[in-house]
Amino acid sequence: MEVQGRDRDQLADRRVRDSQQSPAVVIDHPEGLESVVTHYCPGCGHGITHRLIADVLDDLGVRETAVGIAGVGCAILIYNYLNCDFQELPHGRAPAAATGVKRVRPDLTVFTYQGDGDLAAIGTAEIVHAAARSENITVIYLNNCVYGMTGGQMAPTTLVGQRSQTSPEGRDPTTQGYPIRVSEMLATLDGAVYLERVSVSHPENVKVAHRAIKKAFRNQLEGKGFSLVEVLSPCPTNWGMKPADAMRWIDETVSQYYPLGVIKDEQPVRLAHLVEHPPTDFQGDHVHGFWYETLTHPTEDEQGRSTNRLHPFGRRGGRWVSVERSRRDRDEEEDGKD
Amino acid sequence: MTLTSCEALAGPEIDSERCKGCGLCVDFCPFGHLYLDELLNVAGYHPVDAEEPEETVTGSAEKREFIGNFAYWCPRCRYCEIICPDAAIRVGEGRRSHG
Amino acid sequence: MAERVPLDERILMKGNEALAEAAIKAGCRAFFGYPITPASEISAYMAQHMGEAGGAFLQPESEISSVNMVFGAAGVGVRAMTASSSPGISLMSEGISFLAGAELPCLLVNMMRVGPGLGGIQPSQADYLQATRGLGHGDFRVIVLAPANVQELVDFVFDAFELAESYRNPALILADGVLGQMMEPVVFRREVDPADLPEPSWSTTGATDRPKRIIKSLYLDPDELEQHNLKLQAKYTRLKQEAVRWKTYDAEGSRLLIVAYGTSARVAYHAMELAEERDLPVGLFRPLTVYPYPHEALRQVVEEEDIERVLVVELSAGQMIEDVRLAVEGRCPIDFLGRSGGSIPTSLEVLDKVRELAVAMA
Repeated sequence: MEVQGRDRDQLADRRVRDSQQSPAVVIDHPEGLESVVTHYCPGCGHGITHRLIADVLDDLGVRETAVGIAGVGCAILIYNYLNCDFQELPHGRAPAAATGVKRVRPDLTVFTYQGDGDLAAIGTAEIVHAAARSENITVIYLNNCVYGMTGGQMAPTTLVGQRSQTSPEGRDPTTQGYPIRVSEMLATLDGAVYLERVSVSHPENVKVAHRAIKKAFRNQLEGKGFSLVEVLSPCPTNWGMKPADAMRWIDETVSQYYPLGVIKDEQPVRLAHLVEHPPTDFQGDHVHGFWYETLTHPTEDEQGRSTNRLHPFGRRGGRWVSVERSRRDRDEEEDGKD
Repeated sequence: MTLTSCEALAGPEIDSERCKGCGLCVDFCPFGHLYLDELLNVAGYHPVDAEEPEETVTGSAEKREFIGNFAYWCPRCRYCEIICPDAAIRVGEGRRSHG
Repeated sequence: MAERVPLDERILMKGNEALAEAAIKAGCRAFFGYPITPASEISAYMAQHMGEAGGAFLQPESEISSVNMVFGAAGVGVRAMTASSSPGISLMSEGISFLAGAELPCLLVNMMRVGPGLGGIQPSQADYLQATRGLGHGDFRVIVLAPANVQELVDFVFDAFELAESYRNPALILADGVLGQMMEPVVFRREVDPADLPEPSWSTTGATDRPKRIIKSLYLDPDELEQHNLKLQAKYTRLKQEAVRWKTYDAEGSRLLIVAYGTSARVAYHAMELAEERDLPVGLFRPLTVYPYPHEALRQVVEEEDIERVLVVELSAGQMIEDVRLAVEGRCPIDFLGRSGGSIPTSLEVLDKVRELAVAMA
């Protein structure tokens, strides 16, 4: 980034010329983005991500039925920058409020916007359980490896060796543990349907991020379940880097620990499907419930029956047994009688 | 709102009062046509500005090539627009004053 | 599914279940609650019946999530509630502060149990100060109703939702484990259809054909925040003028006045009857709202009836006694009888104390 020397007078002349000769050019923003200048630092990833969300809300035509839930962090003021209804919740609790809204108004498009302190520290219970329940919401999770708003403290996502206000010598794993890869962690939950990690570190990456955010919202409209986009974002101020260097650091270092790409894109078997297509050994026994061995896309055999690895269980002889076991016991009894 | 725009060719249009001088567009413009102005905007940042292409055909063959094909000056990759965190720059049509 | 309770029929019901049924009848269509003794039956009843009433039931991962889910649902204009017991209410502190700051109506229920810490599962009234003064950080209060029987538990649910909505403030029913677990006859006299409730002007239901709405409690500008706080305080002033409720029993001609609420008021009432049989002139003052507290009414009774001594009975080490002192303002001595481990004083124990005080007064 170079500041080239220019003659002040020449510039002044040029400006005067411009205003006389060019008609006023308005940089139009998507309807979903307010024209307020943000409070974010120069080079902050929030600005880029807000713009992407605004684009997507307009694109999908859901701006007027959207309810955003703001997490607490630098982006607490997102409700001033995006043009849709918003609720402001305590630190970490956005997924709970999103659940509250979506459960009573499933017609609304509900999304949360959370930083890494909000989501991966104090909010771990809320995000894990919202994902486990496969709440049909969209979560935009900004990971900038630091607590921005409070002045640069260590976050659950701060890299080993990374300096911060509370890891001044660099994060020491022996006392401060290892960073959390939220997307990979949530991928172990059957209820988490779509998890992708993107970054805003390069215009080409921003285009990918745009597609991912759009997909995460579209999933909600299609009722597919919990979708989260983890956005690797720069924090030039608290990283102590110039914005362009911060972007490079994401590409060279941060994304080595947090790899970009789709981490999960898979729907769990829905209960309605199970009722319609019960497992092959279902008939005949009183089933109280199902124990899932794995939940994957439904598969069927040649007769069109489900071959999901489901183990029904029920009560027999006053005990809880798996239906399979109870059938075996019953067959043995009958053989014994012969 | 003060704007600078490439007078003659399609190129970046900048809202210099929104710009925070982060320099990302300067870094990402594949053609290096952007730079941070020496002047300050109202918020105290050095806003970005776009170089002007030469309007007269002089000098070396390189410059002539630049002028000869308008598209090479700003091929509208829109990298500046995509990376700007403040929606302060976009690629516009500009006005074509060359024949 | 079990059948729901019809209107205008006298039926024997467990307190917790009656409360849950009352909420559904009052138009509540969102319940989020975490299991905790002695409130869990409320969740169980909601799990069975909220769905068929067309509402949302969810058991979330913690009380913290519960209160924040209530925030979300209340924010879209739905009558929402959670129910818990003392330790769970402590967890909800921050959420309750946010609800009050964001001016969201909702119903909270505390089936008090003994503390501090894990304490016990026996009943208690030791969350009085928490409920009336310290539910969360900042300058706010919550409307607190104190039922003393299952019928009141039911009726106060309707009142709580109405008060919460008209003052745009959370409301809390302060009951104890006894009320939740006991079975008493109860009649449901009315039913509210949520469709009949007016659409709030502030709910975040999607900015269709209107400017966007923000439900928040953050005001970074000090002047703006002061205005907001003064607005909240004005609400509490109006509450004190308009919403205070209490009952007095046999205060006329009494020299000793017992002040008690909830379960301890039931015990005190019986002790009062026993005292009167023994020609001891005793009256009872029972607040029905403990925020706003009937300070003025209590002061009037003490003055007008020439009360010589006040006895406060609580299932705690003494919390409401502070409000009694504020009301009485030194006009007469104030004594206390309480139990702290979860045991409930019998009416005979209260009678003994009354006799002891009568001797001192003679």
